[in-house]
Amino acid sequence: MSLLKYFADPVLRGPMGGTIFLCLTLSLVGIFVFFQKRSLVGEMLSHAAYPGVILGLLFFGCSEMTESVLFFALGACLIALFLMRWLMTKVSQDLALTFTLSAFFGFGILLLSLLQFSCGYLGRLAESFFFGQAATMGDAQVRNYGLLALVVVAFITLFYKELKILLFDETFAKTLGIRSKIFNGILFFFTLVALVAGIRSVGVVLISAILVAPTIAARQLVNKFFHLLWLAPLFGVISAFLGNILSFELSSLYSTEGNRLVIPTGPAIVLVASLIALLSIFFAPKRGIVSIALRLNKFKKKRQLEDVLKYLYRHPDASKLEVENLFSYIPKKTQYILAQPTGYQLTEEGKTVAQNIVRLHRLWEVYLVRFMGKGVQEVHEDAEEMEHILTPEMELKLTKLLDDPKVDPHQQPIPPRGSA
Amino acid sequence: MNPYTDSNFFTFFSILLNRIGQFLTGDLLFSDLATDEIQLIVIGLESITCALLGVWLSLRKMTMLANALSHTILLGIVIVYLIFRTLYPQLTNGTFHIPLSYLILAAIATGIFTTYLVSYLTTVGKVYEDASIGLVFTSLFALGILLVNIATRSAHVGIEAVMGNPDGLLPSDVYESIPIFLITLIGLTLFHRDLLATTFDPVFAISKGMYTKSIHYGLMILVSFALIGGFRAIGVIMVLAFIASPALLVRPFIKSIRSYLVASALVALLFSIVGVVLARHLVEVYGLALSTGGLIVTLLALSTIVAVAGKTLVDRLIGQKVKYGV
Repeated sequence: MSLLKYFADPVLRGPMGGTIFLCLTLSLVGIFVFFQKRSLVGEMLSHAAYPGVILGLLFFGCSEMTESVLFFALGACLIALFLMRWLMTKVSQDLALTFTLSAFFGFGILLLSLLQFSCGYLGRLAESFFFGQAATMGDAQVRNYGLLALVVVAFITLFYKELKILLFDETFAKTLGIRSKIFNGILFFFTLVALVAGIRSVGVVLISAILVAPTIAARQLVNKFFHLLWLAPLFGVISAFLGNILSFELSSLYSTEGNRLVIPTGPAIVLVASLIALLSIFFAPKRGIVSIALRLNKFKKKRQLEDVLKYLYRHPDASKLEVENLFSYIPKKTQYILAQPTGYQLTEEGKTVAQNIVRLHRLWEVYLVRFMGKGVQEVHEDAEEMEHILTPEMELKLTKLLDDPKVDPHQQPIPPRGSA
Repeated sequence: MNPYTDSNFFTFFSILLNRIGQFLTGDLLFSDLATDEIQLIVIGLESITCALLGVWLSLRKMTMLANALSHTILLGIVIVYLIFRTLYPQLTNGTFHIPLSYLILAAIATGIFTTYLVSYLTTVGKVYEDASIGLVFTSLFALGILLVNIATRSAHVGIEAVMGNPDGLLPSDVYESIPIFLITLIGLTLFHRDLLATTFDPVFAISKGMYTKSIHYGLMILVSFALIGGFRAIGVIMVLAFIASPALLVRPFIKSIRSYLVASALVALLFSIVGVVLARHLVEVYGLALSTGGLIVTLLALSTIVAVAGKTLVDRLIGQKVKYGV
C-alpha cells in the first residue's frame, strides 16, 4: 500500500508524524481559542514569533538549526502579548492587534535581511519559516510533538469538567471555586507552545489557521462540547495527513530532472483544513448554508402546494382562470391535483390532505381562543402559518386537549381526520 | 551607475537636492532616475496613501479586515499574473511586473471578494467574525502560495511578495504609484463627509440616505489599491504596518480628524524618507544591506511605542487620565 510509505519511509515519516501531532494539539487548544473569540490573537502571536526565530538563529551563530531557537520565538510572543495588552488600555483591540502584528513582523523582516547578509544558508532557512518546511523534521521532532500532544490531551482529559464550565460560564466557575486564572493561563501557555512549535512546519503566516479551521468545521456538525473535543482534533489530523500527501505529490508532479520544486507543506495543510471548514459551513446536514436553504425551499414548496389544495377543497367549482390568477405556482404533476380543461380537480388523496390542513387550521384557532385568550377575529392569520407546521403528533395532542371540537371559533365545521 | 554610491546620511540629501535641480532644468531624464530615487517616490507616496487609510480604518476598527486583505491580495495578484502570462507570454518581464490595469482589476476583485466572504460567513454562515476573518484570509493565502509556487516553479516568489524587494523597482513603478496615490487622495477627499458620518454616527448616516455598505466596500477597495501599490516595494504585510503605525503614533497628540489625517501622512512620509536614506547610509558606511521596508517599519514601531509611552507618562505626571477610545 503506497499510503504506508508516508509512515514508514525515514524521510517522509518525520514531516507526517510531526505535523499530525502538531495539528492535533493545535486544533484541541483551538477549540478554547475559538470560543474565547481569540482567533485573531493567535494570528498576531504567530506573526510576532518571527523576529524571535531569527534572533535565535543569530544568537546561536551560523551553526545548525536547533530546537532552542523556538525559545526565542516564545519570548517574542510573550513580549508581543504584553505590548498588545498595554496598547489595548489606550486604543481599540483592533488597532492594538494590527499594530503589534505588523510591527513585529516588520522587525522580523529587518532581522531576516541581516541574517541573509551575514550567512546565506541560515537566511534561506529563516525564509522557510514563512510558509514552513516540514521536510526539516525528523524522528526527534515527532517524539517532541507527540509528547506535547500527550500533555495537552492529558490536561484536557483530567480537567474536562473545570475547563468546560470555565469556557461557557466563567461566573459560575468562579462560584464553584475554579481558579479561572490558572486554568486560562495553562491553556494559553499550551496554545503558545503549540503555535511556536508549529511555525517550523506550517509557517508563521498560516499556522493560526490550524487553530481556527478544525473548530469551525466541527462546530457545524455537532452540538455537544464533548463531541467537539473529538471531532476538531480529528479534522486537524486529517488535514495534516492529506496536506502532507498533497504537498509531496504536487512536488513530485511538478519537479523535473535537475529542477526540484518543493511545494511547502504549510499552505497544503491549511488548504485542506479550510476546505473541510468551508464544506462544513455549506453542507453540514443541519447548520450548513446549503442545507438550510434546501430545507427552506422544500418548506416553501410544501406550503404553496398546501395552499392550493386548501383553496381547491373549499372552492371545488373555481374556474381554471380564477385559480391561476390566485396562485403563481400550481404543481401540475402530483397525485393530489388533476388538471382538467375547465379547471382543477382534487384527487381522492388530495381531498384527504386538504381536509387535514383545514382541520389543523381550525383546531389551532380553537386552541388560540380557548387557551391563549385571543379574540375570535385575530386568530386566522396565525393559523394560516401553523397549519403548515403542525405535525400529526401535535394534532393528536390538540384533539385530546380541546376534547375533539366539532366547530371552530367562526362556527365553521372542523372536518374529521381524513385517512388516505 | 548609481549617484548615491559612497554617500552617507547627510551627503545623500545634498546629492538629492542637486539632482532635483537637474531634473527641473531638464538635464536629468525620467529614465535616469536612480533606484534610491524611485524608492523615495514609490515608498513615500505609498506611505501617505497608507497613513490616510490607516486613520479611517483605525477609527472604524477595520484594521484586522485590512490585515485579511493584505494576505488575500496575493491570490488576486497571482491569478491576474497567470492570466497575463498566458495571454502575452512575450511581454512578461520580471516577476509580477504586469500592467497596472491588471493589478487594479485584481485589487478590486480581491477587495470585494474578501470583504463579501467575511461578511457572508459571519451573517449567513453564523461563524464568529474573528474566526471567519481568520478562515478566509488563511485559506485564500494558502491557495495563493501554492499557485505561485507551481506557476513560477520557484518558492522564492511568494516570499518576495511578503518581504518586498525595493531594489527590484523599475522606473515604471513610479508611473503606477502616482495614480494609486491620487485615487486614494481624491476618493477620501470626495467622500470625507460620508466617511465622517458613517464612522461616528452610522444611524445618522443611514437616515441621511448614505450608502454605509458602499462606503465600507469602497474603503476596502482603496486598501487593496494601496496593497498592490506597495507589495513590490515593501511586501504585503508591511503595507499593513504602514497603515497601523502612523495612525497609532500620532493618536495621542491630535484633537481633530483633519489634524489626525495630516499628521499621520506627514509622519509616514518623514519615516519613509529617513528609512530609504538610512538604508543607503548603512550599506555605504557599515556595509550592511538591510531590508528598507523592515527598517522603516521598525523605526515607525519603535517611535510609536516611545510616543504612546511618553505621552502616557507626561499625562500621568500632570494628572490626566489616558484613554483615547479609538
